Amino acid sequence: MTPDELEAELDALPPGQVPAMASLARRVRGEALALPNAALRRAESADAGRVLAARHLVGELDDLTIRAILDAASPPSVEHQVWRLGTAVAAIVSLRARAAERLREALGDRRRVPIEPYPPHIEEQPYPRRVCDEAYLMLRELLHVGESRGRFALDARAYLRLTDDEKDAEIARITAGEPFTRLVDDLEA
Amino acid sequence: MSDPILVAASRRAGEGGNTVVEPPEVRRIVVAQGIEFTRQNRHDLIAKHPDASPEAVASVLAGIFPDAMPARVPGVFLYEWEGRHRALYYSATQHVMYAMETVDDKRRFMEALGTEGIIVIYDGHARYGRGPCFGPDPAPGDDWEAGTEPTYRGLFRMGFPHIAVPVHEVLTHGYRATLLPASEPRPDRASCDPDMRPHVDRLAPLRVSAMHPDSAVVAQLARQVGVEPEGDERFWTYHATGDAEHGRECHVVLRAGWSDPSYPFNLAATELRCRMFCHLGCSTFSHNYPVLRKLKGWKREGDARFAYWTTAPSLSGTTVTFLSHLMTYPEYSAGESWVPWLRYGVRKANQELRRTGMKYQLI
Repeated sequence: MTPDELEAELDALPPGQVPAMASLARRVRGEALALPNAALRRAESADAGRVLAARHLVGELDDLTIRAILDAASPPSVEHQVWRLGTAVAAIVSLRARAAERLREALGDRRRVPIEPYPPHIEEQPYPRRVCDEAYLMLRELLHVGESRGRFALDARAYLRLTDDEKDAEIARITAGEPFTRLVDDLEA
Repeated sequence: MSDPILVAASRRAGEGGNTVVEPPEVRRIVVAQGIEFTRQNRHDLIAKHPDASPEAVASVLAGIFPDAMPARVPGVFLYEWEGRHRALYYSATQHVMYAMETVDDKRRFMEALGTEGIIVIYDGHARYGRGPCFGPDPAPGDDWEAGTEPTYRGLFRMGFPHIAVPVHEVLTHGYRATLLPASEPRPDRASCDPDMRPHVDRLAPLRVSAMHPDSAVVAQLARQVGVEPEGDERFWTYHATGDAEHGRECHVVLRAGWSDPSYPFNLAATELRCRMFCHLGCSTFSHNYPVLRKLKGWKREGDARFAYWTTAPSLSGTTVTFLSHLMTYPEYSAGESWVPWLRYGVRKANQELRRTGMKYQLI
């Protein structure tokens, strides 16, 4: 599919239709992963002479290899299995570090995020937030992997209820390398 | 193995008829539409605003269940039977038949909760955590609280015993409010909704006359509370900013009681037999998850007793989003565990919510 063909497909897509979009996404993903998949197959061939350059390329492809590895069928050997997992995890860690770096930069941005107000009949309104608040919550979600989804959801809500000064103090704490504060004491009643 | 009921059409004539297809798994889904969020309410809203922009109308229409489903998932069949709007959809990939229907009164909602094996989705106001609330139209009155006909209308109480709401909410909805009198002890934190807990230490007793600067408003509030405007009764209150429109204002503490024996339409008095319950009103993970899962003790049991909530203030239309992703799960699912199917539906719905700028997720 060429970029022009993709544009045409998007123009022809019925708005909001779930299966049509899923089908297009599968095609785009399949085509985008064709080359990483080919490199992966070669990297696991029985011919040792063909493997070295292919493994090098898979490593260089970084995040492009993650999906290819995770979607691939079982590898032919234990050695390949460990190599695959190590390659995928290295790419994920590298990607996460890059995202965290961007988020840390955004922790200093105090601009308000414009939020479309909910219709007046909606009882509760979204809490106001700044770019740094969004970055704080995303960083917490990204890095604080020991925190359950439920714990994160409640603490995120509690964080957004704080005053700007209180939020700034929490941001200063994590910027200084301290752990994220648990803001809700109990998940229990 | 269940009896085969379908025979492939190609085998029916002259080919021996020995190729059979297992019947699909039927997943029955009851969508309970709360006060102000019924299908009819939303069509009325569009009719009342003939000058609304096409985008605004399209936005409302896109959230109406079941009307919006065929545009999202081709093949959904809509029909009306026994006064209820319904939808049918068969996923050949999943080999699952979806049989969906709407209800918009409390009795049918409670019947659905007590029906073995089905999915119940409540789509409506969370009432600041008090619970699902039903009524034929959004006019001010007791349908926003205990209900003018409590069997069919008003709250199904599902919240913590004490919930605080801003005074403007009581006034706008015009219901008789049961405030917590200051003659009773200050409520302990554990009995309060999580949104109220940061304010418990600074609860202050106030007369109704001190809850609002406008004497006409005080008179209205007093009528709703059932006291004299200049009366000496005091109630537990605190001041806080609820939203930008109303600014800092008085919040009153209501008796909310998921287990109040004087009001039988509550969670404690209800035996849930459904296989899954979703409350898609505002911030229900904070308001109601602990009550259902911890206080009521309705916990996940293997492949049953699933529950889903929202993490923050939500908009109507979440039901359409969630169901359309469940119905298009791209794997065989009949007779299998519901876990992969639900994980997929939640993940895809959350991706869509994020993509469209929503500040809440399903959990």
